[in-house]
Amino acid sequence: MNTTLANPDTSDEKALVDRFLSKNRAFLGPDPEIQRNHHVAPRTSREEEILSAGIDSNLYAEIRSGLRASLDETFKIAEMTVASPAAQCADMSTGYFTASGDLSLASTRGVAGFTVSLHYPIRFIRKYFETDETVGINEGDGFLLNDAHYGGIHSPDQHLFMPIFDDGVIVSWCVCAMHEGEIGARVPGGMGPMIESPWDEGLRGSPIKMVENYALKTDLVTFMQNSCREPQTMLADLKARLAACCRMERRAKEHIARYGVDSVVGFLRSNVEYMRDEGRRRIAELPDGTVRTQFYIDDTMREPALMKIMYCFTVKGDKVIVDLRGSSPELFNRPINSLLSTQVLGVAITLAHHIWPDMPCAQAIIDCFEFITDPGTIADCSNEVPVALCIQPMFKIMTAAELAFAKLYFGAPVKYGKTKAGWFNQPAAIIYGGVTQHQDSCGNMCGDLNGMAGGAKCDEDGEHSIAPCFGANVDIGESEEAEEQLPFIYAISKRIWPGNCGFGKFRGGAAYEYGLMRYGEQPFGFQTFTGGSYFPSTFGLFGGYACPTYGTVRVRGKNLFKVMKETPELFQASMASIMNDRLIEDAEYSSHSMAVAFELYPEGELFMTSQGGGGGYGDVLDRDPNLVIKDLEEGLIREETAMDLYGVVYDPDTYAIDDAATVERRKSILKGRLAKGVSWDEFMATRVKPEPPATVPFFGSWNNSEELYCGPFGKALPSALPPIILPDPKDVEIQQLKAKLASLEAPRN
Amino acid sequence: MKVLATEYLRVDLQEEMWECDRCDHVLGPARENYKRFLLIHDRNPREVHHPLLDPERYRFCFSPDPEVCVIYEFYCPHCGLMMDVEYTVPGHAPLHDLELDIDSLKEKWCGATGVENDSTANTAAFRS
Repeated sequence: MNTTLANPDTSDEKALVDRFLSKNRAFLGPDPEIQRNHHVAPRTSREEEILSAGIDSNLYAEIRSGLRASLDETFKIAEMTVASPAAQCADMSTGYFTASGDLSLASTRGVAGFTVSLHYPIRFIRKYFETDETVGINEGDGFLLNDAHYGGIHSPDQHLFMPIFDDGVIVSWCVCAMHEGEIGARVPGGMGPMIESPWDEGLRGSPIKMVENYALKTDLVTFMQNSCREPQTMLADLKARLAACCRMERRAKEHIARYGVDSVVGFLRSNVEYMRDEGRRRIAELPDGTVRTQFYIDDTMREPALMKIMYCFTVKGDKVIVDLRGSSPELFNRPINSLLSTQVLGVAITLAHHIWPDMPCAQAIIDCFEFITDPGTIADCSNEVPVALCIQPMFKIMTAAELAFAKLYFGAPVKYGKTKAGWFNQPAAIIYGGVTQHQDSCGNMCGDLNGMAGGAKCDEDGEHSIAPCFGANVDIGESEEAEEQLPFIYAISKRIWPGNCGFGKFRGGAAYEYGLMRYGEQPFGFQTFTGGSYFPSTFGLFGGYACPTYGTVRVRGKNLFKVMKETPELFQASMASIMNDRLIEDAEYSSHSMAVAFELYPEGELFMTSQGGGGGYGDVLDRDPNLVIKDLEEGLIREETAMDLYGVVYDPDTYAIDDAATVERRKSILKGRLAKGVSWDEFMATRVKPEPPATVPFFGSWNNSEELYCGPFGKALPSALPPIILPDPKDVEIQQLKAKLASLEAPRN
Repeated sequence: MKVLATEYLRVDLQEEMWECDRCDHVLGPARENYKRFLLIHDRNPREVHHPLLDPERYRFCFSPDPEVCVIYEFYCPHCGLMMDVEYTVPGHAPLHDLELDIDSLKEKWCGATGVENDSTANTAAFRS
């Protein structure tokens, strides 16, 4: 309970000064001691006392099963009651933590990654609020967090924590975490190209006590509702999280009553230590070595650019060093920077989901990892730059870790999962905002983001648009439900286009296109915020090709509902047919990158885009010709790909394979490779350049240069990077047009 | 003893040499970058990823932009097998992507017990 305090204005002067000096801080900003430490906390004296007395593994297994059931139960409660579209698609998680904040158990379904990084805010709450009489931590409290700088992934995610007490002492924490979406940012849904400063990111909730005595505080809830475009969704989801936390707390207390508090505390801690120790043991099993990967983010979200992210994973004994040096400098007024904690989280998620699928998802499994960075780069940015789209660089480290451990494990005596190529790794989704047909304000994200394709495996093809890289058990939602709630229709829904997968001996999963057509007269619009339109985002493995690029395309200036009604034969539910055939007269057809700023669209205009494919595995010439023909029949590849890349000869009418001719064509392709390939020395002498190309601004190290290229700002050592503030592209265009106009108006000699 | 390092690349631990797992061609010393011993071809990405939309009409045609992207293909110099591909920026040096500690590899496979394991059998087990 809060104690009643005397009015400080009535204190004597000395007491007032003493109190001021001991209590006042200018700003409780993010604490680097907390935020830059992903390791498991030391045992508390209580944990030490309990665990040093011995562990009953059978008892702990029983407690684990019971608490796991509680997490799955509460996950379901929240999933059935939330209003956020993403959370309805299972973009959420529930979890139990130790008293110090280490994640011990997460729900089976959903996105465990949400809970993985939440030791940061729990440690912050305990360090700064526990003894602060204006806040305190009491039974029945709930703290809300939605700020990446305090341990969330990005602002659109909102998490509610509840302490679990026994006999007046905190013995655990529980959380219900989810992607909320709308948080009152400059653009709907909290993510978008136009976010250019931290102040454009909307509500940034450092841990806030939103719940007291198991009840939401009406004043704060009202404030939250007033701070976003979806007040009803905000309230519904706060209540859903609170209901889940109350049930988790109840279940935990039931376990304490049944097994004793020491058993529950001992289990929570021992589970964390098991994950920590098992992760270290598995790393020690691996042969030492280094794997390097480099990715390019190809768009600042306002202009094309090449921003390198360098990933170097080194296994040495029972440790892994992840070296991110050489990555692009942070961009002061673009939203794609990421914090170190975000990169760390990406590695933990990947290990649990893709490399050690038998291991739980928790930060403890990467306790033996250390990270080296250049602070002030997009892999470890400062607190002064926007991070609304930090999931772009985060998803890159996920693929980098996938590929690194695929290579490190390939030659290892013991493996824990199949070797596979990269899972698609970008947040390719349409974000919408405006007024719905029900006259509600809204701003959120299509569940299609979760329709990412799987990477090819060492023995089979990847799955089509099956799940996001960050969570195996989530959904893409139902088109019909979205149409009932929102003023658009899926004019094209989940259609796979040929070539949208990584080719190889085994191909990556293919991914679908979709097109939203505005319906109704109310103001309503769309935006996208994804890289990979110039340079492929997801790589293959061992000779397998990457996924292709993709973009957004629009048909504007015409109400296509009228076209559908009057001349239905002119509307083909295919992006390629619509854009290449241009059967609808007087419409404006245009293509764009996947970074499209928010705009309103009147009724009947069409906004189309695509999900991305998975990476391929192995040499294309090793692919079974029958599988190539199957791909062709299913519309996954084009005829040129089957013939020229895979080297399969077949009858174009019957698709019957000519086996002998295929063998000959493949031999011919192999000979061609030997003829056109050059030696390393010749390649280095003739192809490698001392500077990056001048056509597009380049950011990051070039050929291992110590200095980092800074786009239009030259290059500098990582310790002396200039603030990179890019001009508004519209201003640049205006200047170019003015110059052109001036040259045209100049008197001719 | 020979250990698979990738789908197509093998290490002879005794001789400490990289080998092609398809044609048995000995590539070069295993303590060096294996890519130094392969043929390299810089390929226009549009030969692999054909545009979905008409590139004459649309800049964004759902195919990589050759101005910023090139594919380096690495072939066995003896049989032409494509061992790796690397998507990079034109003019960038090939990445030294895989650097195994040969001493550690030896120790993991036969150091502690002296009994040689069969890496191909281990890999096959994960394919079945």
